[in-house]
Amino acid sequence: MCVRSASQCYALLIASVSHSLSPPAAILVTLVGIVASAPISDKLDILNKDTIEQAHSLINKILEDAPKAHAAWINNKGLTLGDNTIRLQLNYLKSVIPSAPVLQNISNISSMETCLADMVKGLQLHLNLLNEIIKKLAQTDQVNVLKSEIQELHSLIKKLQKQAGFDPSKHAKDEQSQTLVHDLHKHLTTEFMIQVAAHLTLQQLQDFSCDVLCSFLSIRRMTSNMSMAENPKTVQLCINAAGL
Amino acid sequence: MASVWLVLVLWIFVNALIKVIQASSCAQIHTPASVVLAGSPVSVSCSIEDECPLTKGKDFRVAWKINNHFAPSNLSYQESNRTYGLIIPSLLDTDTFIQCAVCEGENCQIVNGVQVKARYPPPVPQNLSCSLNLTSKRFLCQWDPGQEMADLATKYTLHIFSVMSKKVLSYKYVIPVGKHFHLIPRESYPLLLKVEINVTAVNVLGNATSETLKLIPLETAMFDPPEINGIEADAVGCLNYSWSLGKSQQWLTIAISLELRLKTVNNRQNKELVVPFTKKPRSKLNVCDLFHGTNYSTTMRVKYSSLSKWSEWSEWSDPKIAATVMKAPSGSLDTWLKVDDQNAQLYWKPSENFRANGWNLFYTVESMEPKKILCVTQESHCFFNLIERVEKVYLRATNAAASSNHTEVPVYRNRGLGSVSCSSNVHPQSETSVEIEWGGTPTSLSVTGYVLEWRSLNEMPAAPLSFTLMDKNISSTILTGLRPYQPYEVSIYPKYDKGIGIPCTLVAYSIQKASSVAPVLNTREYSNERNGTIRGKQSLVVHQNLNGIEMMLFVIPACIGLSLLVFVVFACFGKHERVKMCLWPIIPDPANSSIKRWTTTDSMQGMPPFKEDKEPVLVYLSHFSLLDLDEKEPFKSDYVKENQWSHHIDSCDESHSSFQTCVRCDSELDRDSVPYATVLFDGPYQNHSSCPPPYVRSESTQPLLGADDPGSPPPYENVSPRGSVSKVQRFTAFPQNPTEENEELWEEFPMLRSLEITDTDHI
Repeated sequence: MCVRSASQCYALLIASVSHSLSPPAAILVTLVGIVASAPISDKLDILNKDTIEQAHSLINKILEDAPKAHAAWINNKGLTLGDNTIRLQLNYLKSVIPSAPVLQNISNISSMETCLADMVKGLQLHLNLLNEIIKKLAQTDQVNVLKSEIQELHSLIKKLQKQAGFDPSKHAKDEQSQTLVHDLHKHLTTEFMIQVAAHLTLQQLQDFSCDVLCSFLSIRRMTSNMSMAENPKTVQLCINAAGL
Repeated sequence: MASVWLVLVLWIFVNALIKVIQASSCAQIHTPASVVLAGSPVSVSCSIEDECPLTKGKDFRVAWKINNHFAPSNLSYQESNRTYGLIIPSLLDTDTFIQCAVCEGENCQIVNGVQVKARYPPPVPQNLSCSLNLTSKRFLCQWDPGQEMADLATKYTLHIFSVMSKKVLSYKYVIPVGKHFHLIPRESYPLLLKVEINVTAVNVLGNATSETLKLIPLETAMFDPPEINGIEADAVGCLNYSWSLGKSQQWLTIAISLELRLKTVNNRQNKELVVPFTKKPRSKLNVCDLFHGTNYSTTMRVKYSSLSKWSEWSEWSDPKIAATVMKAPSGSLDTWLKVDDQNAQLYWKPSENFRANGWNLFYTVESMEPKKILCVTQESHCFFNLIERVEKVYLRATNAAASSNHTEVPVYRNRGLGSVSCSSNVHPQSETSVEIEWGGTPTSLSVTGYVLEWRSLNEMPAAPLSFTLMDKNISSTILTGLRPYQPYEVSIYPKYDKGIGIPCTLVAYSIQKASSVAPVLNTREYSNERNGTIRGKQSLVVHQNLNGIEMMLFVIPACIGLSLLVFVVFACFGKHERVKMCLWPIIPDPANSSIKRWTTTDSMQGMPPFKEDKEPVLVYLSHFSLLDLDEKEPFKSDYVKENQWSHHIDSCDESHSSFQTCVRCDSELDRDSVPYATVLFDGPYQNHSSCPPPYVRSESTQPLLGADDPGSPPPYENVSPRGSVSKVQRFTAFPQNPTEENEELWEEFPMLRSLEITDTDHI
């Protein structure tokens, strides 16, 4: 879930689907704009707009394909993607998989750099989790497609990092999450646990992707000459997932 | 036990086989490669076995045969004691058979051989192309292998490279034999990042690599048709579109190429325009410079990029119809006003720059002095009364939004101006068009222009008039939209400053054919079945190209003149006898004729000479009957036994010339003859009774019996057989003593003169 400034994030989402900004959302957007000072706009302006569009498209694609992959891969009616009741009831078993990074608000260059790095980290994490679970639960074509899209988005964000002049190696590798992924296999001892792990991975991927989408919407708004072009379907999905 | 037997049998078989092989092999032949690159050298070696019977204790030599011909000796050499070699410098034949032979003297025996093939490396795979199916997510690449060599296996491998996250991801796929396409799996290609793809072909002689494709997989995809979500019309006549990609492509946010195609709907000015865009999905599209008040049907299609040679257009979307806003009609109307006393006919049509800008268009014709609405119509013409003092009328067009400006139409009543030269020429151009030429007007008057009007003459009710305005410099124009074989009345009016001149009118056909019906000799110019201008008719007088009117105008006076001439001629020369005899021979009036007069030459005057060119046909006009009263049968008054007598008296013997009348009563010939008289004999006619037979006149209407009493003779009377004869009013044909009375009787029955009987005469 988008813990950081949830109300701001989802205000952006709500605003993006309506034809005109509602007054509260407009205020929030203005606040963001004020906080996003001149230096970050310089960074944002040097980003290749096509790369931003490609990355934005792919996050939409991942959000569209995650439910399809879940439906084809996990044959368990007790595990429904996006069901908040089940989400709460699996809080205990959630520790089986490592958590995804929490994305910061992009307010300055540093936060932008951190945000991009966390996107990369989170995408890699889910890629690793899927590869691990696939060893126990045979992947389907839809999972295969999802993996390819995650891989491609990962590549595009790294491209944005390079365009912005950020050094990816500056951020230390998250060794803890690496260990936990490696240790995941210890929990995948029963069919039930394998399915739970798969469900938790996809649920977390969906939540993380919504956060990435929020970040991209804010990048677009802050980048000059970039009009809003939102897919109402995925935005609605994230709003539902956030329980709004 | 069974296995032991099996092993034994196998051992025996193998031993026998070895011995067979040993017995047949005399030499071993070896070549490094059985398939070589065409043109490359080939070496072959032949090792003669020690135990070869062909060589044991014999003086032998080794010879080589290449494709059944002994190889030149300079190509062969001896490698060692019993090993001999052959080198072919350049092998070009596709299949070469090389044989090693042991010769003793001239007797050579082939001991072994090998086939060497000369081949080429595989051809470069051509036309490599890839396309992505967004629905199945299959990325299909295919190529053309070129001319393959059937007996040389060629292996194809597809390579795909992409750079993701600084890593070069490279995949290669070995293609099954015989196939020349491959479906690249999803994990091997990105959607939006560039990849490089090529195909290599490998055989034993080398390899070849196709051209490397550098593309973004998504650009090879054919998108689903987009959707037009809504169309809004703005005040300036533009249409604004909101749209989206197909459902399975709605995740895309990148700008793509699209086309909008607009077609006018139910509009006189059919217009279709295609507007290209490069826009992000869900952005607004704006199309301007459209007709106001017009319905447009819009469809759109998309593709990844117009700049990409791999991109394909999607199918066109479902059409959506929307109308631009209306405004007042604009532009001008061409007008043509014809005034005859107070009757006015006004015709109009849109000029090139006229725009209706709306629907429900109607026209208003009005005058300002006095202010009066003369006509309101949706047609293109109007007939109304116009009083003398109206000098101008005004025409305006009105649609559902507003009215146009007035078009001022001056009223010209002055008709006595110049006319167009009627030396007009009509030149058919096609089945539906004709060129009209006209001559100039008198130079004293300055023409300001011309009005050409035309109307079909065959339509009932009368067809509407069409017109066109032309500049003064124009002397010809082409009329189109005509119906073939139909007459059109065309008039050309010159226009002057102060009015309209006298028109020249003609009839024109775009194309003509033979008339459907025979011509009718009347003065009507136009007939429905003419199908063209009648140019010639077969008649008594006219054998030249004349039209109907000219021919009638010539023939009638000519006939009248000829008749007068003939009348004069006859009047002058009619009394000449020869003319009389030629023209009207004198035919005697039977009512005023008599035989007596015929016998005189006087009565023959005036009659044309009778030429007896042929035997006269005897026509029996009348007959007389001879009746014998001595018959036993009582005399029947109403029955004259004509037949009895007639059958016996049937000869006309020339020896009996006194019988000038041949009495023949052939029932067939006498059917139409009229009884003339009945001669009664009181004894057999042949007996020449001294008593002259009485004659009884028959009922007869003989017209030749005299003019004094042309009526019927007295009715027939019975006469008693004896003694009463003398009482009968009779006359004798044989007067003993011709008396005046007898002469009178002969005059009454002239034909009976022939019955004069004398003693010497025998019937």
